[in-house]
Amino acid sequence: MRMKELVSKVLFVDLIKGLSVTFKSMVSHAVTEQYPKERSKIYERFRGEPRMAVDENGKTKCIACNLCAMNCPVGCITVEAERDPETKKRVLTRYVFDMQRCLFCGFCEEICPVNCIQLTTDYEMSQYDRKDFVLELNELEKGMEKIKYKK
Amino acid sequence: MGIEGKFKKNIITTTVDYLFNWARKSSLWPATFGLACCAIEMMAAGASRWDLDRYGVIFRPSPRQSDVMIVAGTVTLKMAPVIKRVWDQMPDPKWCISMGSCANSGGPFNSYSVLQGIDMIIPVDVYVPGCPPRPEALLYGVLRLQDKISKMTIAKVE
Amino acid sequence: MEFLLVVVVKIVIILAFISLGVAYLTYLERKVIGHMQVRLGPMRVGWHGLLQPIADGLKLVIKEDIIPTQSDKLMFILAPVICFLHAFLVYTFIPFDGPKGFWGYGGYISDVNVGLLFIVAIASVGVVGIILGGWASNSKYPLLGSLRSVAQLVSYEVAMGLAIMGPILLAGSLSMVDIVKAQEKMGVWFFVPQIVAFIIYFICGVAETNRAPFDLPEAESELVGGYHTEYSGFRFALYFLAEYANMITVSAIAATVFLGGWLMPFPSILGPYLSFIPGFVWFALKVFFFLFVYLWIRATFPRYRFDQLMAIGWKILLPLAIANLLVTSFIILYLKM
Repeated sequence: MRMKELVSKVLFVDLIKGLSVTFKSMVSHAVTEQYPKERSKIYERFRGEPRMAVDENGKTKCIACNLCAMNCPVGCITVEAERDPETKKRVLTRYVFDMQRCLFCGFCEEICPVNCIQLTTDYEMSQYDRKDFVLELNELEKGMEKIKYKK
Repeated sequence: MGIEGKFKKNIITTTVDYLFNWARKSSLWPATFGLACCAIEMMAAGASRWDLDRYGVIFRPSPRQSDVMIVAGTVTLKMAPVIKRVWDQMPDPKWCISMGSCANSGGPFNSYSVLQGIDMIIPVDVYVPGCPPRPEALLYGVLRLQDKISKMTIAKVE
Repeated sequence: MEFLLVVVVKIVIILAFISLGVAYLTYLERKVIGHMQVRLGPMRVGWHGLLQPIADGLKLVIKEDIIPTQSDKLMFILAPVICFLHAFLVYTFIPFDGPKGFWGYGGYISDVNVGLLFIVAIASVGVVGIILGGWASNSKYPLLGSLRSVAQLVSYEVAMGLAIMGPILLAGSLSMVDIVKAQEKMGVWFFVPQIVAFIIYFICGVAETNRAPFDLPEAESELVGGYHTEYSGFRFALYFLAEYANMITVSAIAATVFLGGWLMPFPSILGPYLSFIPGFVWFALKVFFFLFVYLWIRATFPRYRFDQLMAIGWKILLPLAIANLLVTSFIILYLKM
């Protein structure tokens, strides 16, 4: 047994085994996805950039129930509303989503009774300025401004 | 360099700008500054599937040899002076990518011990939101930074 | 006058070629290691990242040049230059092609009768640059890195010197050109009769150039960046180029001394078909083979612990090298009698 060990050490058997592993992986096909060209599949339950849905008339679906703001663990949603004196309904006046602190946990999406706020599968959200992350209602409806890199 | 802001914009400065900016954006070497879970995504971005090396981005151990600092993770007040120091040790021109909600603004940790955004201590060029961001989101941030670098100039700014 | 002109032209060509080779060695490293880690390596700067070393170099040159306040300024500036200079000086004595090579002008800048000794001597002066750089930075990690580098170099220089004594005994000369000629006359390259010396030389060569798995002087996980932690911009580029130039030097010596330099493999079989290929192409192919093995080893093996490194150097390689030297000299003595 000891003789065998000695022979294998002198002939660098272990080292050659290791070298053959790396050589095999060198000639095998690379697994890299070349990001702007090839994108990996994003599953639909991925939680990315927030969006507010609109109904068929282009008006917001939000009923200003304030559940999303109450459910948000970091308190990054602000809902301001006032009561319409005629219909006695709450009408949204201002909706602010502060994405700086957002955890992308999806609690707001889960609790929303009218499926208005949704976390899309879009992950390209980088900005040069922190102020650009404070999203008002119109920005939330049409999505953030972004550059689509092709190559 | 010592020649910045000495000349008006003309054909020479634009050519030099193009060459210099191309060199700078093609070899962004980040100082390794992984602090929390975002660092795992940063490592994933450097590993086989996304491969930051495709962009010429390789992690350098020493701040003296790096161009961009990727601050990935929660910055506690205890760590803040260290970040400031590493930033000061980096040679100009240098850039900073703030990765993840914690580094952007403190994230969920609105508490006595966490720095509320690293832009309180160092200037940040690109913010990458996410908790943590996907590796592609970081790559998108790097591409945005490259866009920003390609607009740099040595000419006098009017 | 013509002699001077020829030498100057040769120097310019070789220097340009080596500088380009060193720059593209970094590209090769990133590509080879990338593919070994089933990724792609540089892809976006030029076609398949071919302009990457140029971008890196230009960026490092236009970067701010930091000299720490607490450092020894003269030594800090001098150290990378020493390292760089001695890494490139060695190429004076390396025969890229035979005396009839380079279209009759001789494939080397100079053929000195103590060539190999001179190369080993100059190559070890380069470490002075590393020590000075680590010491002049006045910072703890560079100092530790440079101390490790000295300890490693002293340990491995001995075994390396003794290992190349074997081929020198076989050739009976220290001149690089004569060593290759002796291999031509013998009909077999020296790595066959001197296989032990060949392996010892290559291991020591890897350790001498501070490459993985012996890259303790710049171990990133322990020492930040090793001896060049405090260097930025083009001073760091000088260290970087010196390291890669040293890799090419070690490979070139290995190719010359053990693999027959500019000679063609199996001249009796391949000779009639491949004789149009100039010698320096064969030489370059051999050097490339060694460089590839360098990168291959780096992608495969983890770093040694420092005590393991010392144990390999002193307890295994040195006795083996001495034994090889003794056996070789006894056999030569016996054959001469």
